[in-house]
Amino acid sequence: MLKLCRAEACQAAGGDALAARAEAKLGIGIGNTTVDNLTTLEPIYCLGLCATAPSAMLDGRIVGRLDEARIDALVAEAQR
Amino acid sequence: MNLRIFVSRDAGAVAVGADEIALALEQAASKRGVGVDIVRTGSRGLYWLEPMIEVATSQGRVAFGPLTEADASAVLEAVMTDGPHPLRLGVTEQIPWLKRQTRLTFARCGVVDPRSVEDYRARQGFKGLERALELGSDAILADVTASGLRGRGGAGFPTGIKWKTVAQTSAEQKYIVCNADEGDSGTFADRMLMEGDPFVVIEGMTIAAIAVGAGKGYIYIRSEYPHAVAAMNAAIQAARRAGYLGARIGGSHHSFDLEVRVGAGAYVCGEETSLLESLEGRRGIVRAKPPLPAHKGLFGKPTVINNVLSFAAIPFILAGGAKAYAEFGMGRSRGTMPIQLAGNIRYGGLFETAFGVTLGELVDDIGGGTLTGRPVRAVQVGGPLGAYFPRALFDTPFDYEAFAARDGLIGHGGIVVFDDSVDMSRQARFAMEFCAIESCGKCTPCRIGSTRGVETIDKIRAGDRVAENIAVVEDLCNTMKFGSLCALGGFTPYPVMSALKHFREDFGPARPRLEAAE
Repeated sequence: MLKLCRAEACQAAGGDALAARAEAKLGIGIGNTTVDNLTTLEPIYCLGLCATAPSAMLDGRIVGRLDEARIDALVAEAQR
Repeated sequence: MNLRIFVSRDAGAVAVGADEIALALEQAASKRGVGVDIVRTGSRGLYWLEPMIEVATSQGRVAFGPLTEADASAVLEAVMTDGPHPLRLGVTEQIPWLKRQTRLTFARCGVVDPRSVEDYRARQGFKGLERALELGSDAILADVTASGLRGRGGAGFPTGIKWKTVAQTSAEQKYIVCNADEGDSGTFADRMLMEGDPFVVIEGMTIAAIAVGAGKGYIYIRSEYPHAVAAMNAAIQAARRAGYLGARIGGSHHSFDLEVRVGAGAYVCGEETSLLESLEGRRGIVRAKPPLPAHKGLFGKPTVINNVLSFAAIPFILAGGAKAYAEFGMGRSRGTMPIQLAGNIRYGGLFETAFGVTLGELVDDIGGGTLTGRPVRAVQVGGPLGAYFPRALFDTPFDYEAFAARDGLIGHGGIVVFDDSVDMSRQARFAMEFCAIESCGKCTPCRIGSTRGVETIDKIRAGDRVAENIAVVEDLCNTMKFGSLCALGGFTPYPVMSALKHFREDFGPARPRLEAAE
């Protein structure tokens, strides 16, 4: 379960592009699950990590200051 | 003697690697045969420096940051030899960003071990409660009123009056409820405090219980904050063991106990009446007011419901600080506000200061502008229901009334900074979309108005009868503002209307925008 923070602070910090990147990598839109049932991509409205945005939560683990490399790593981990 | 190293366990620090740093420091120390005690604290709120560590020295705590795991060994070396290191920030208290703050509510956050009652007591903890037990109800209420404290959740209602209303009811059972459903984007002060100094919340709630005669309290924390839930639960258990919760608090005749309840992801449950519904085990749907929660709140009983920051301001006030608290601030906004700087900002974090600081000082001077280095175009103040301010309004002082006079609100004190790549019609659309997703559905203006709002803004963005559709959006906003039951529908017009008013050039056929810098 990969939850991407989609609220304003993460939007301001480039979260939109990273969300689109995760969607493209997984081949699904936010709110959906991959056909192999391994990964669900969900929006979350605010993890309260707004000063280290953009942020995400993978199976309960929080990650901040996302960039392309970090989101790719998260997506890869989510697909394992 | 072992070396004492402080590493934050705040979620904001953990999200950028604080746990790994703590482990790396331990390993580096054991490799060199150096004894270290790693103390996990909350965050100081200097988030651009996280993961930040502090080392106890004869000059006080010395900070290093932001660290990576690879730095651990070299930093330890610098500490042992008192040598230089590029990440050495000097004595923490002397870091200008921290030094220029007025930390009353956050005095202990990032300093103490949040699981230690002893640590809390050693730094003025429970002094307010001890005095409250001596004073009794009337004098507590007088102190809270004299401090000028207003609800920090956003509505700004005078806390003393709210408490007095509950105190004057004659019910057998009364409740204290802490609203820790901090759902606004750009805000994290509640989370930081619950993780970094949970006892101050417990103490504030206990003082409220003594003032109004309540025996039971609940802290309603959102599910997105698992670290805060764990920290609060641990602190409640520790306080109970130490006799600060439960029967006969501090040897007095007062009994009060607390429980944490976890939400389920609904933004509207931050609205006090839906929060109460949720606490009672029902779906989070707004109640019509009156009756006020002060008269008929949780389970129909008189209830004090306040935000985390309101309760957390109380111990300082009761420890003899009512007058000192009231001397900070401007106009009717007394005391300090923990302001949260977030989004695309260079120096993001928690800045507690007296009311009256201007938006420009906060964004440009303290926040250092954008992280991307591009010009600041808009800032949203007060969460998803707060207005977008352009640079032209940066002279607005941080004050409830000054923001209201400019069609905005300070809300819970969050400021989200956007650079010039922002598309404001898109932000306006998001505000409507967010309201549509999160609406509880009880009232029509919020439930349907928000959906119509999204559709109409889409038409504007597509260039379809722009002027006519802007008029429709304005009309919808008017209906939502005056016809909604609660602030969700009632305040969604703030971001929408402010975007329309200050950034009208963004409303029309969508055109190629500047690429956002990454």
